[in-house]
Order: sequence, then structure tokens, then C-alpha cells
Amino acid sequence: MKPLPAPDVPGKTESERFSNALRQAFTVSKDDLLKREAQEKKTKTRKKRMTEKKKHK
Amino acid sequence: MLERDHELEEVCPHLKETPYKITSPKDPRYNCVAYAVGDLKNFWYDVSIKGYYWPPGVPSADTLEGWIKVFEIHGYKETLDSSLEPEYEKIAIYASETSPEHVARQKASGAWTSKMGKDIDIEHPSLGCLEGDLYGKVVKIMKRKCQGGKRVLE
Repeated sequence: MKPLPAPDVPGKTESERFSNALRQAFTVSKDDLLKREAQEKKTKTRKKRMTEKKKHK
Repeated sequence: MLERDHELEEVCPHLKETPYKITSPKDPRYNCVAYAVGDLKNFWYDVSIKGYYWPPGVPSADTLEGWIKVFEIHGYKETLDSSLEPEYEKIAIYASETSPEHVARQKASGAWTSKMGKDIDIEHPSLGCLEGDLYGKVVKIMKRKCQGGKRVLE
């Protein structure tokens, strides 16, 4: 069985590529995090607003 | 398992007068879109974060167009009829004025099943019982032939 081709990771040396591969695996884009937080906040806010509205009725 | 979820009834008030059933415990790993397509391992939303998934090339998960495209990819086509047709499975997309909010899937019995955000799954007899401030209204019904005579997760 043929080994899988090496993943396309930038870097001039083996250790640089390894380090970059690790970083890629654990890095999350800030935009994505912010987008997820905004979406979760939107749902929470709406639920909270509706619960409060009920309490004040 | 609890018979009713009072917190849920606060935000979906029509459920108070509806004989719905809680069919699973809370599970934050998947959402309504994932549940509708039969994936219980990913949260379908378009961010590149582990545990989240959105099909490549599909418009934003914040748009109705994006949600419709997801279901088109899975073989669904738009229809106006939400009644039970035994050879078809159907989904119903709810949307507010600004964005899609929820999707429910029809079961072989004709009842509907929904994953409530990161919380529980419920079975509900009608689509109207989830309409309201939280999810908006049903704006799109889609259907596809049951694949191999079977429905998603049944």
C-alpha cells in the first residue's frame, strides 16, 4: 500500500512544516469565532427577552 | 425523561397546548439542520471550527437561500404541501423576517420532529406549534422520495 502524500503545509524545513501543521490544526479564525458567538448570543438574547416578556405580563 | 419542558414552552408558547413528546436528552453537538439531514455529530453552521460543518460552496447559513441549498443538495425540492405523503419525506423551514431560524422533519407517522437548538429533540403533531417569536413562521416546505423506502434516522 502506498503511503499518503505529505499534506500541503508551508515551511522550508521539516521542523518548520511540522510546527506549521500543528498550528494549522489548532488555529481557529477569529472571524469564525466571532460569527459563532454572535449567532449564539442572538438566540440567547431572543430567548431571554421572550422569557422576561412573559414574566412581566 | 421529562414529559414536558417548561423553559421550552416559555419560548414556544403554542407548545403549552400541544401534546408534544421529548424524544432525546440535551445534546449540543448537533442542531436542527444536522438533525434534518440525519447527522448527529456535527453542528451545521458555516464557521471553520471543529464540530461545525457547512457544505462547501453553499450560501451563508444565515440566509434562507443557504438552507434551501443544503436541502436541495440532499435531493429535496420545494412543495406547498405539508401533509403526509407516505413515499416522500418532508422538511419545513421556519424563518423570521431576517433569517432562517429552524427546520423540522416529518416522520412516517405524519408527526414532525425537531432538534431545539443545542437542547432536546421533540416530536410535535403540527408545524404551527413552533411558530412564534423565536422561530418565526414556516416559509418553505421541501420534499424528496424516501430513499430505499426509508426516512432519515428512522
